[in-house]
Amino acid sequence: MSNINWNLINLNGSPFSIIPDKETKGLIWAGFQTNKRQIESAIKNIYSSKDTKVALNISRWGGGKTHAAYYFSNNNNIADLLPNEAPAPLSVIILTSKEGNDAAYDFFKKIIEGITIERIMGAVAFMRELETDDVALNKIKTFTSSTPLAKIVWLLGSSNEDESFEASEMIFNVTTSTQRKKYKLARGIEDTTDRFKILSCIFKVLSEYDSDIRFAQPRKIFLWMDEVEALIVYTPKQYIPFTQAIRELVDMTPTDFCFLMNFSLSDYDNLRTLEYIIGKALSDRISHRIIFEEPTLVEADAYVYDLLNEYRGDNENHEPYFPFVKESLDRLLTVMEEKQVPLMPRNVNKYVEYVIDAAFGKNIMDGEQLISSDFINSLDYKSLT
Amino acid sequence: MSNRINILADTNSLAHLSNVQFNIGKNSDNWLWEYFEVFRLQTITQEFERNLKRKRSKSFKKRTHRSFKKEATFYHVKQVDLIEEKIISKYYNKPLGSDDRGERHLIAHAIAGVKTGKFNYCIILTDDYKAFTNFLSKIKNDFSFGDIWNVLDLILHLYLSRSNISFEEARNAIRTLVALSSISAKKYKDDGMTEYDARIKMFEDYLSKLEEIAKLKTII
Repeated sequence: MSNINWNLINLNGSPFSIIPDKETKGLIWAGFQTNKRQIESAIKNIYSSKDTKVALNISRWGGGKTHAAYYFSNNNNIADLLPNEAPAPLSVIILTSKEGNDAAYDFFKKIIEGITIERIMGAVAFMRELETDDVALNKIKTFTSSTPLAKIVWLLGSSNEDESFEASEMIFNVTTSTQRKKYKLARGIEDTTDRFKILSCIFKVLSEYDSDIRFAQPRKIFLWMDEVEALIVYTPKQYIPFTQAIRELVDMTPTDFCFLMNFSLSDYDNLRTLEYIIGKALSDRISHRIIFEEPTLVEADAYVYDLLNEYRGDNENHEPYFPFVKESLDRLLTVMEEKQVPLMPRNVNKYVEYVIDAAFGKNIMDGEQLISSDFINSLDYKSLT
Repeated sequence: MSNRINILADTNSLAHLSNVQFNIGKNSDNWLWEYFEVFRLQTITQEFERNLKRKRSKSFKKRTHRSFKKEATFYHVKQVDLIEEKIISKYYNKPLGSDDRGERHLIAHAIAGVKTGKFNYCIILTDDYKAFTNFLSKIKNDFSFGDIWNVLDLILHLYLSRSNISFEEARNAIRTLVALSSISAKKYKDDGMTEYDARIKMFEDYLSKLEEIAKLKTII
């Protein structure tokens, strides 16, 4: 159990949470300005054309990719990057399935649930209300090459609750013959290709409509897929069809879609094998590669400094690095380097919190004393490896 | 004595290899027996049967089991219990119970096979990394019966020795096997590495070896 009383060191809670905060609101970006600029530059580039883009973000494990996905999924954090008049994107973050057998269905389900079926229903309903039912149906048909699939999406926006509920059921399950007869559908959703056609169709609807708005310019859909390295536990029989299906989704959605993959890799030399991990079909489509390089001591120092000051309480009468001083923090980062622990944010969080906890445990923080380099040297860090 | 390599195969390796197929015509399910002289121990047959009952087994695993029983040469050494008691136990840090029984019997038969002239060299094929590091490798160092491979080593050998197996087939086989969670990647897992990282490193390592063999194949 932690000994830390954050208030006593004038911090509003722990800045060093190991597990990334999944709330996009209130997330801050500390240090690592080069990484931030790389993603900002990619977003600007994505907005420079209508074309669909595929981006790959690579770093060591704990390098801040998940944090970046959540940070940049908050539209407040990217408002300045977007061209005038461009609507803010709709962002969805999904985690790669650990199980290769049902990967495509899991991917489909997570995206729909990430957007929420209610939001999709609301957008289709608004589209039908605004355009009239027949015009909306014809328009949805132009979004997909299949009339029955277009009709299922169209039914999601029905004002009849039973109909829209049944359509949502058809999205996730096998269509029954009763449903097919009732809605005059030649067929239902049969396979992965159909599901991804539905996804592409939904993306196109959401690019133009939301539950109470029609966008003057198309809205971009940002899909972040986290922990893509999990594909290494898919056999070729699993990853090849799955990644080919994702490529089809990308190809079926030629505009206003951005697919961003987070990939953890400890050795960047292994990047040459990327094609055999995520599949050639998908790796061929990558237009942006963002690499979060291993942080230097100076960058890690700036990261901790920013975090401490973002969480700082009312009392400003402190050393800027309180409860550390610059020398002791740098000593800690040097200890990490000596132990060959990469200065990735997750590792830095772990070590800094460990030292603060130890300082409370040994009553160092009584009377607002500072954590010294000697104290850093006195700890063994064995429990952290 | 056949000029094919003698293999004493462990249950886990046979189950793993059932995932790998080579495009070599009608024998694609039986390539292991075609390319190697595989010996079948009673212990391993029984373990494989238990393995099939325990889990929801895939049909290809059942096919491999049927084929193993039919094609592999039955081999039994009467003194196996005595070899275990007098020799293996010195390397095994626990009482000789049912754990690792298959691996203990494999190495006992490997030593006995060379001693009696059943074969003059053999390969133990096992993917039990823990058994390998705990006792198998130590016994191998003291009794020169041959070598211990995992299934990935076997694929490298196959690609080296067979002209009808393409680079792509061998690479796909390695990629398939690296994906199986029951094949340990512990050897590749450094501090701070995730399981995925270790598997990617394992794949990279075997792919590099495969590429070296491919270079050799352009020379001879």
